[in-house]
Amino acid sequence: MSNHDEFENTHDDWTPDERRLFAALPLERIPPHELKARTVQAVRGLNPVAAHSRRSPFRTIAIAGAAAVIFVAGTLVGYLAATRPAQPPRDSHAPKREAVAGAERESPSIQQVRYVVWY
Amino acid sequence: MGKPLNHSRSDVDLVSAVQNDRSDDAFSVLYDRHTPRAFQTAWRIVGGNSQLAEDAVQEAWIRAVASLAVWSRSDGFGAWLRGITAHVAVDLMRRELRLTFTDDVDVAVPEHDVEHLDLESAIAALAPGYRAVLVLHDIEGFTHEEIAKQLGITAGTSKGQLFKARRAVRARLSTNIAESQSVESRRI
Repeated sequence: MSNHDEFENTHDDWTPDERRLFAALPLERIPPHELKARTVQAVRGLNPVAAHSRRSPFRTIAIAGAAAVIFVAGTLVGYLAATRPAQPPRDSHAPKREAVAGAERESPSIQQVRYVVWY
Repeated sequence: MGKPLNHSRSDVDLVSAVQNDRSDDAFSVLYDRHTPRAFQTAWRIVGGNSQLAEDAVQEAWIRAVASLAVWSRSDGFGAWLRGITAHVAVDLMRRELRLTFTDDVDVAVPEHDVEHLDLESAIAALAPGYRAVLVLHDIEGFTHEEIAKQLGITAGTSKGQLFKARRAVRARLSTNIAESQSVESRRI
């Protein structure tokens, strides 16, 4: 508390001469020229929001057009697929099954082997 | 982007151009307008180390441009930038001290400057924390509350450091005056 009061009391304790010294201090200092180039370069790598807003309107229209073409093509393919007449599913195992049945009819031993294999 | 920029355009216009059009020209005008003062602030806070001051200013601009959206237009752009610069400069100074310095009071004063101690070198001779507060308060005109926010300390700490900084500067200045008077009397 006493420290705080001490600081408050000395809040502006420069003498007029000292204040003149402070007022005479230069407020500006010219930085080296290269600093500007470095800083501009560094700042260019930023600003994603501005970069987005800078996108050309032609590019935006082209992207929208491409998206529309892809959408229409997808819709068309989906429509064609939906309206095609349904075909009965082809049974790929049928010929094999017929061959096995024929072989069993010819030789009962094959039937035994089949059971052995299957069980 | 294409049209030439009028250098009398306000900071608000220039900031909008940087933000919305990513205008290099607008940034260039802003840079030329505010960097010399920010550089001086950084240079003083880091105790006259030009390389550190340059790094501080560059980093301050990067941070400022990245957060242009949060700049309150009621505050001056220059003061806002200097606040960021001061913050960055203190951070750099802290990092630098941790790496190289053990005694933080007189390290910033080169030996040959001690004989020609003026206010500038008396400020440079302060410990970094004191120096930052003194520069921000007595030269840049920030309040203790603003300094507290920029440096991550309390307003009370800022006041305490300013008190000690002023005392140290005054002691150095009076030593210098006494020394120069004795040199003068010896010459006579």
